[in-house]
Amino acid sequence: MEIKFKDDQFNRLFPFYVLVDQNLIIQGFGRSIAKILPMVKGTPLSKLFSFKRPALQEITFSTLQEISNQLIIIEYDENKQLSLRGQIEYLEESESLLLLVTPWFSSMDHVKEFDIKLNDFAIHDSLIDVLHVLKTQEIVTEEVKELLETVKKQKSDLQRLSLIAEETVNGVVITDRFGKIEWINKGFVKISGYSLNEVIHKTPGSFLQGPGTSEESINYLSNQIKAKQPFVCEIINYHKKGYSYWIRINGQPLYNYRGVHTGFFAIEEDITKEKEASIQLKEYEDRFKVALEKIGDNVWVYDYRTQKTEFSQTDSTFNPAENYETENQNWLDYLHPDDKSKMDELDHKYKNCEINHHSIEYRIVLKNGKVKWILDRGVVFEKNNDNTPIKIIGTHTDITSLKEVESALNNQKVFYESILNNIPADIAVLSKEQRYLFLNPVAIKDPILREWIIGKNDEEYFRYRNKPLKVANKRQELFNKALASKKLERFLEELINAEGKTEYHLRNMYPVLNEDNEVELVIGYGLNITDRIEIEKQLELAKKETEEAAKAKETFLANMSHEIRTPMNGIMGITELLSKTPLTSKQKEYANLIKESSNNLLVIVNDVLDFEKMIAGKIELESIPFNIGQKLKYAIETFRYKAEDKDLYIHFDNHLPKDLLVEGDPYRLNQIVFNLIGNAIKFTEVGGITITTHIKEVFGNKMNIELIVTDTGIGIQKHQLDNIFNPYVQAKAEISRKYGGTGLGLSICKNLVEILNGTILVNSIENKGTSFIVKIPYAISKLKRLKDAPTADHRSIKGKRILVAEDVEINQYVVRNILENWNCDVTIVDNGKKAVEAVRNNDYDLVLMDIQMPEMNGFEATEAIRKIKEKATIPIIAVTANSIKGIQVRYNKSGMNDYLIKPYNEENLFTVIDRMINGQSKNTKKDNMKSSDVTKQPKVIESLTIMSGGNELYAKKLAEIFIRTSPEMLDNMKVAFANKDWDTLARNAHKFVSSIGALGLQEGTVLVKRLEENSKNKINFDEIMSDLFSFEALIDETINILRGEYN
Amino acid sequence: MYGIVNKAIESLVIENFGIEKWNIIKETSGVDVDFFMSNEPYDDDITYKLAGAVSTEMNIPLSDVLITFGEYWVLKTGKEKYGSLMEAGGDNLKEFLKNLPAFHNRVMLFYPKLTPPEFKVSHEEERSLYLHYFSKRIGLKEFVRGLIQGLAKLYSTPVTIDLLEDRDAGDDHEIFKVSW
Repeated sequence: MEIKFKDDQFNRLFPFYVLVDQNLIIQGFGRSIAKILPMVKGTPLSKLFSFKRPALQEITFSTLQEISNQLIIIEYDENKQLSLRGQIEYLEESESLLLLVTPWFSSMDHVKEFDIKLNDFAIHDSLIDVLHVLKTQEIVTEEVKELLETVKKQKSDLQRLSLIAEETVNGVVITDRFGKIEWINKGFVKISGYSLNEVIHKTPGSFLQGPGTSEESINYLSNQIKAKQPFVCEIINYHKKGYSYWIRINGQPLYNYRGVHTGFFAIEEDITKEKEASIQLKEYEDRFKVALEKIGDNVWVYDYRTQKTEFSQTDSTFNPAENYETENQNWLDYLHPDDKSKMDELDHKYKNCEINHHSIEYRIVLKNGKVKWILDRGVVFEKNNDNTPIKIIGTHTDITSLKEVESALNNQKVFYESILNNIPADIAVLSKEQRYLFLNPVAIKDPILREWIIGKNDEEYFRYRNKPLKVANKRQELFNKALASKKLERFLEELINAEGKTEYHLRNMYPVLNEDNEVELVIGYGLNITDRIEIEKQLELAKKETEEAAKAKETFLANMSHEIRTPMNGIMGITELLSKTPLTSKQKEYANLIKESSNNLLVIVNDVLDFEKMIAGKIELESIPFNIGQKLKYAIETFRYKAEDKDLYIHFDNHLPKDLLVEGDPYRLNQIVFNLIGNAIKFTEVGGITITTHIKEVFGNKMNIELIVTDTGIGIQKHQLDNIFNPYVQAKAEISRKYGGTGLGLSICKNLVEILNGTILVNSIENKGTSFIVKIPYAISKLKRLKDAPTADHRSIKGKRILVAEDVEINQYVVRNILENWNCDVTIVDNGKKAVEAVRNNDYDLVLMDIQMPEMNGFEATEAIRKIKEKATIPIIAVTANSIKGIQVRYNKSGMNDYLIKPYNEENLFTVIDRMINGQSKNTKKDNMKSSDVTKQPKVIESLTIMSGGNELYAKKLAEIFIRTSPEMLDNMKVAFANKDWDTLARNAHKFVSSIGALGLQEGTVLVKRLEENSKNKINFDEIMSDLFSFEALIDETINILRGEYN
Repeated sequence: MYGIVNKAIESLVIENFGIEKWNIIKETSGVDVDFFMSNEPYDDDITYKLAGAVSTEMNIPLSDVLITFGEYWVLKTGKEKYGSLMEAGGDNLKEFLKNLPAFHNRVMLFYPKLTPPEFKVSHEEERSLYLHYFSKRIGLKEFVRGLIQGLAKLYSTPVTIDLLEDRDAGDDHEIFKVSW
């Protein structure tokens, strides 16, 4: 059977065929070869291919025909990478050769290069399968290499492990599943002393354990092995030679790849030394524990390996102990939830070796719900080689009560801070370095600024706020002062506020001292006293105005007194003269009425003046011996006729001894009695007045005299009794109209009694009568009896030449008549100037000098007279209607020897004149005056003489005091001036005011008062300086005068 | 199953989840083979155990594991180890699928101990064909689905795969209609 193929069929079977003719010219080719080679019909075969196998000498049709039974390999000449394999068939019919070839690729990548697919190959072509097998081979080869590498590595690891196991100093044991030894290493041999041969197939326990081995450990190991479980324990083993040693066994069960348990692997570590060290450590630990327990706290030890805590006290002596660890309970479970994180943090730090000791506080909640505060302190006691802790030892201290105190203190602090924050004053607490520790919102409102300033000082604050540093410096000065003195220091700070107004703050620095008396901190507080300062200024102004008003009043009273007394002097004098002339009974009656009226008017004037004196504290008291019973008797007698006029009886029920002499002011007693009796008569229409006296008490040389004035008059309503002694009060308004008077009488009485240290009470029943009970203490006089009062012997001044300077004509008339009656030689002038001239040109024994006169007043005239050398010592008696306190000093200072108050009576006039002419002159020293010092010296000496009441010893004493104390006071002033300590300067200047005034140094008084004022107000510093120099000179001079006089 | 299959599962797990996971899966599966040789035949059970363990350990349905593995087999194992061979399989998805029966027939020859599945192609259309899957093994149809998906990705040709016949439904083999 002949097989014939169609082209398509042939191409499917041999897609790479090539057909050549006898000339080896290509006549046909397969579809797939054309994809990989540039096949063109007519191309000689040799142009494309060369024969690689078999090697041919010559390529001809016949030679190719001869190799038709062989495998041929041809190469594409252009690309030696492409070979084709196959066979050649001779086709007789067409005289041609058919090359049935297929490409021979070395790999699939090679196939890919020529971009042909599986479909390009004939289905029966196995090249691709071959290539696939090759590829698989290649992969498997790679895998085998990888496997070998893995095995090699495992072998190496195993060898290394074996070496470690063999060579490690620790003992290594491998047993079968029953625990019988299969292998041991060198380490085991060394530790135990046994060789492998000696121990193989034995259980380690059978030869290693001994009497010291713990039963517990043996049981544990046995159980673990039976249960095929890992085991770790420390156990005592015995060496072949018999001695014991400690090992730590760490064992693991072994399994084969099927998971079948095959045996155990154990490492044994010789820990004998470690154990010994541990025992030693335990001893230390115990000792440490004991020491800590002695403190009284609960000692604990925490072991990181067991994660257990042991406590020294587990009974209830340490209260939280009831919470400590039990089998099922960890004490940390009782930590207060809010404090648990503290403990976790602590644990973390210990584990990471960040700390090796600690001290923390936390709370434990007791089973009863109460909370205890614990102070927990601990330190690492034992640690691993990598420094991680094994054991920590520490103490628990119950600090609940401390915490309570702390909390109370904190509450207290909050309380005080709340107070401080709400006090309307700025308050600061400063460190001793003057840094702010606290400030309240009054001091600084802005909370951010208030926080900022903490830790800073004033200077930083003032710079920050751009405020004047001088205020900060002043505060610093005050702060330093308080630090040094350790006492509260203060100063007035003047500030300009945000509105530009001046504010005054009283700054106080109060140093708080510790137990060692050192300043711990300083509390600064300031008060805004701007309002107070303003009020003070207003008060000062008001005071000044009041003083001025008082002065005006005083001046007015003086003037009024003068103006009333002057004409009264005339009325009373003339009346007296009139009474001495022959008169009809009617005329005598009129004269008596004039006298009476004058006297009444005088009483009223005196009342008003006395009252003013009293409220101004200007009443002057005398202290002279007098017979009190006698005095009262005379006083009562003067009222007798007045009482009888009203048909009233007047009884004097005197229980005082007849000769009782007391020392005091009889005039004031008279005044009291006159007032009370006068009132009694005034308000009594029926019955009379009884005056009773008693000695109530005697104490030492003093006694209380009681005087009761009782009337049967109209009485006083009960509700009026309370204010009966108030000034200008009369029991009823109609009383004033009916009975007249000023309403000052009782008020004067009460004041006088009180000035005399006595008491006055009133009892009254309306329409029945009134009793005034007066009690006054008097010193008992040492005199046995009083000298008899000299009877006025006008002859003692007979023929004396007396100059009267008086401008009021009626008074000239009165005095002339009186003096001429006494046979004196009288010259009258009507002003001071004339008086000076008269003295200069005539010789007089005495001058009666009125003060208020035209041209030249009495003071000026006196001073002028004192300057007339040969007449300087003439006695000059001031005559004035001015009875205000201090008048005497003023007259004396002007160089006058004595004074008379108008209206005066004849007796007074005689007494004064007689004393000046015949008695001891108060100015006997005048003759010794140094002529060089006609102004100052007489004043100083005279003033001292006056002050001492003529007592020379006393005057000397005063001079000595002045000489001794003045220089020191002056020095103080100078030092204060140098230090600009104006307050001290003012204070010292003021001290001089009285002594300089008393010495009559008017110039000095002016200086010293100006010094005081300027210093107080911190003004006119130049004036202060010059005044101080002048004052010093004055003091020096005065001291010289006094020394010259009294030394 | 030849080791190359198990090796592919190992690579898939290690690449995606790490060696630790692979060790766990191996331990879970109870497969005690340290090293799979690609051309070494292994018990089919090993492959099933490994696939099951992956499913259990990863908490993924077994079908998803198989699909993933099928894709991986084409895209990683096939492409990396037999890349050129696969490229020679055709210029596009259709061509490759059409060559699939011949390909597996050849595999049988050079993996003599292999019991390869048999594929047939029918109902060839312009944009679809039926792929018949005959296998003595059961439960690997989703692996086949994964293979088709992997090929679709290899040729960047989105496909729809419909299972027309299923041994689980009483048919004698599985027929997948692959449309693109």
